Order: sequence, then C-alpha cells, then structure tokens
Amino acid sequence: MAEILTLDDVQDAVVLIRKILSRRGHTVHTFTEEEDAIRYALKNHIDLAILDIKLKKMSGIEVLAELKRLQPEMKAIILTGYPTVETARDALSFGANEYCVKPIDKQELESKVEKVLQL
Amino acid sequence: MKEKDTLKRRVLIVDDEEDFLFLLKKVISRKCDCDVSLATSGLQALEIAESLHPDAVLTDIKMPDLDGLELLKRLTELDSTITTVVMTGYGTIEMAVQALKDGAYDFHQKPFDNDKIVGSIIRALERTHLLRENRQLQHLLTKAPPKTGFTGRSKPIVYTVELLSRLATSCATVLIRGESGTGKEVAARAIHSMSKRADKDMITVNCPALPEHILESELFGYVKGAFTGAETDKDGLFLEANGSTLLLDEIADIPVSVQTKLLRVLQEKEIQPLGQTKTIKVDVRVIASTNQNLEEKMERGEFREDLFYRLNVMPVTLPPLAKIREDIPLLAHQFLGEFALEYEREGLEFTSEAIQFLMQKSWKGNVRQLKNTINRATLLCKDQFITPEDLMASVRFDQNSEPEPVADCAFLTGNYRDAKEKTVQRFTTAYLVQALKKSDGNVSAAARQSGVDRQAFQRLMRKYGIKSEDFR
Repeated sequence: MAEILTLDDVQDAVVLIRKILSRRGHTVHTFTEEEDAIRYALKNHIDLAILDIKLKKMSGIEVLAELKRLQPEMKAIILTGYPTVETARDALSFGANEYCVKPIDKQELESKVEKVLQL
Repeated sequence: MKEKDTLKRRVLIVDDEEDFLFLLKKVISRKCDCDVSLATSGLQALEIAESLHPDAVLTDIKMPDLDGLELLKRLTELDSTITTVVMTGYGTIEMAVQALKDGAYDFHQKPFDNDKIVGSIIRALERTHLLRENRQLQHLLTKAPPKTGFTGRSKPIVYTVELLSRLATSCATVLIRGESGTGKEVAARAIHSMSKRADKDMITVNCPALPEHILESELFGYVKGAFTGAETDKDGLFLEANGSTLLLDEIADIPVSVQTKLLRVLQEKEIQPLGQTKTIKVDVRVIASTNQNLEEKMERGEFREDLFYRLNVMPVTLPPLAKIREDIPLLAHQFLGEFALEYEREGLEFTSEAIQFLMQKSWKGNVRQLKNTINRATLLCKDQFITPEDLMASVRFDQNSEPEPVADCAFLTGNYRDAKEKTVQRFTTAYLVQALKKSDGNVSAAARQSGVDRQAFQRLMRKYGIKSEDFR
C-alpha cells in the first residue's frame, strides 16, 4: 500500500481525502502548510502527492516542482477548483500525472489514485 | 544566405477553416522566421508531415476526417521529435489534459492572443531543434567505434579513412581498387555504414562467382516466362538494394553484355527485368571493386570504356600492406585481441621477435594474409607468447604464401650464435616445407630429391616440428 501526502489550505479537504484513501489501505499524511509538506518530503518516502493549486503562500504547482526535485519517482495528482488551460499545462509539464477538477467524488478520486499508482 | 534558407524551420498549421489558416500563416511566418505549410484536414496534414518532416505542427482539434488528438498520436509515431501545439474553440479542461498527456507541447483556446501562439511556436521549434540535435549526437556516438573497420595511423590509411568518410556523404558511384586482401569489401561496408543508407543492409554480389546468364537475371530480375525455368517473377538484386547500397565485387570479371546493361542502370537509374518491356526506377548506390588492371582490360576490349568512366567517378585505391608496414604492430595486436577473445585465450602476447618477424615478412596476401596468419598462430601457440616459430608454422599452412628469402629475415641482429641458430632454423623449416610440398608429403621422395638421407630428413622434421601429414 502506498505512502500518500496530501496538501490543501482547507483542513476539511485533506481530512476527507485521508478518510477515503485510508479505507483503501493507504497511509495518508495530511498537510495544510506548504513548508510542513516539503519538510516531510525531505525525510520520508512518498509514493503519491495530492496537491491543491490554491494554497496559503505558494501555488500547488510550485510545491509539486519542489517535491519532484526531492523525489523524482514520486507520482502526483493536482486538484483545483479553478481549472485553466495554463495551470493544466504547467501541472503536467512539472510532472503531474493527473489534473482533476474539484469537486471530485469519492469514486473518481479512488480510481484516479489507483490508476496513477499503477503507472 | 543560401545556407540559411535551407536551415529555415518548418511549421505545419492544420485547421479546417481556411481564412483562419491564412491569418495564422501570416503571423507565424513573420514572427517565427520559419516556412509555413498549411493543411485543411488531419489526413492531409499527415501526408504533408510524412514528406516534409516539419519541426512543429499547430493543429485544431475538431476536424472532419482525423481529429487533432488522433493526428497528434500519429505524428508522434511518425517522428517523436516533431513538436505539436494544439488549439481549439471548444476546449474543455479534460480535452486539454488529454492532449497534454498524449504529448502535445502546448494547448490554446480560441480565440487567442497572437503573441501567445507565437511564443508557443518559438518554444516548440526550440524543443524540436534540441531533440534532433541530441538524437544526431547519440547516433554519432553509437556509430563511432566501428566506424570504418580500418586500423592504422600511417599516412595512406589516415588518408583512406578520411576519403571514405567524405565519400559516404555523397551518393556517387565509387570504384574501390586495391590488391587482393587490402580490404575492398571492408571499405565498401565503411562507406555504406557511414552513409544515410546505413539503416538498410548493403547487398554484395560476387560477380565472377555467377555465370553470365545467371548474373544478369540476379542483378536485374525477371518476369514469369522470360526464359525456360522462369516460373515466377523474381526481383533482381538492384530492386532488393533499392534505397541501399549494392557492392559489385570483382567488377572486372563481368561479361560485356552485362556491362552494357549495368551502364544503363548507372546512367538512367532504372532497370529492366528480363522479359519485361517496362523499366523500373531504382535508387541504388553502386560501389564496385576490383583488383585487376581495368585500363589493360579496356585496351584489350574486355571492359567497356564508358562503363569504366561511369564507375570511376570516385576512385579509392587501398594501399597494399607493404606501403603501410608501420601499421603492422597495431593491426597484429588488434587481430590477436579479436582471436584471443574468440578462442578464449586472453592474455596471449607477441614476443618482440614475433612483431619484428611480422614487420619484415613480405605479405603478398596483404592484411587478409596477416590476419589469417595471426588467427592460426593464436590457435597453434602452446604457451602465453606467440613466437616467430608459431607464426612461421602458421604461414606454412598458407598455400598462397611464398617461401621467405633467408636474407630477408628478422634475426640478423643480436647475439651471433642465436641469430645463426634462428636463421638456420628458418632456412631449414622453409627448405623442408618446400620439399614436402613438392612431394605431397611423401618423406622418402622429399629426402631423395633433397639429396639427404631419409632418417636425417625425418630428424630435421622432428626437430622443427614439421609433420608430413600437413602436406598430403
């Protein structure tokens, strides 16, 4: 089962993701602060990062770039409530495997996670 | 200026709205400094891309025959260095994500700001440029070591290698001349492997090996019923070598009737299979080789003069081993390395006398004879070092080799007693070998003809390790 990091400025959002994915047997580490997430990735192996684009100080794509630099093998899913072609392009070019539009339902999240982890 | 024109980047724009296409062409050709081609459908775009190999493609998604996403996939299959930018008027985020995941470089929603498209195309062109440059370099690297197959630092070899690599870039007919064993086929292979045709196999025809009528049908092919026994159509070697190189080995030996047909192929670049009235265009680079004096053959009327001049567009003459004697140690070590590996005898070395021997021997059979000699010596040698004796024993097997003149030997230096001993040994070995060759291995006859007692003859044979069986 996978080690998953999730980062969103809204506490409820990351808690919900943890609830859904830990039921599937994954270990989910939740963060609302960018620095905490990056600090965690410095010392711990991550299989998958699920990142929102709108955060407190940085954008999710900046965090993605930083995490990928630390762990190039890591998979990533970008979530956003404000999808644009520009952010989709940037997300994919920085190595995201999926770009999903919020709200995302439980089944879609589960299937995207499984799909990305199998890559 | 002209060079700059040929280097101009090519952009292909695909959209089913023609007005929009012309507008884009104007903007992009002006601001991106590139040639722009246009296509109004996906299939047309694919066709153009196959022949044009554009640097970048800007395509709409919604098109009647082949949509932009499918076109993107096909383009990637065709040439992964082509960079594709996708644009659409009905863009959804899912579509954009899909296009980007499928390898699109960028995605734009119509209507768009011209500057954004221009910036995107400029970056796309840059990406393709980097990818192609990288691919070329990698290609060069992987091809670098076996490059020519010629080893040596002597002037004639360095010149030959340089000439071969220059010839490789052109499509002109090459005539390779040189004594037997100088590496004419190696040179042909080198030209082929360094040329743009390297992806396809070179076809070699050994001309004297085939009788006249078979040579003709082999080269040009025939149709069913062209002659008795022609039960099916057969493609000739020229057709088989289409897009590649055809080596006509020992060209001097082809009959005059085939020479006439060959001349036509070289002039018209088309062949006519036996029994067929139509001609077929072929794109074949011809390399011919010979060890004979074609000028003499021409004087005797055995070789067509016009064919000679057609073939002799780019002549290459390979140096005999006697002219590149300084390369012998290098060649010898290379061959030893190869054979030692093949026979699992790594660590085998030449003694310095052995190298001296190789340097001083006359090599009528050129590099091929040298290689064969080392091949056998590698097999015959009993311990860690290959000595002159091993090499001599090896040369003995060579039916083509001439006996060594005693005075030519390498042992006229050093300690008098050793030198004498070695010279006597060489003399005796050569003498016994000749005598046994003449008598087909009959010891009594050889001894009688030499005026030596049979027992004494046998004693000498034992001393120098010569066996009568080798000559029977």
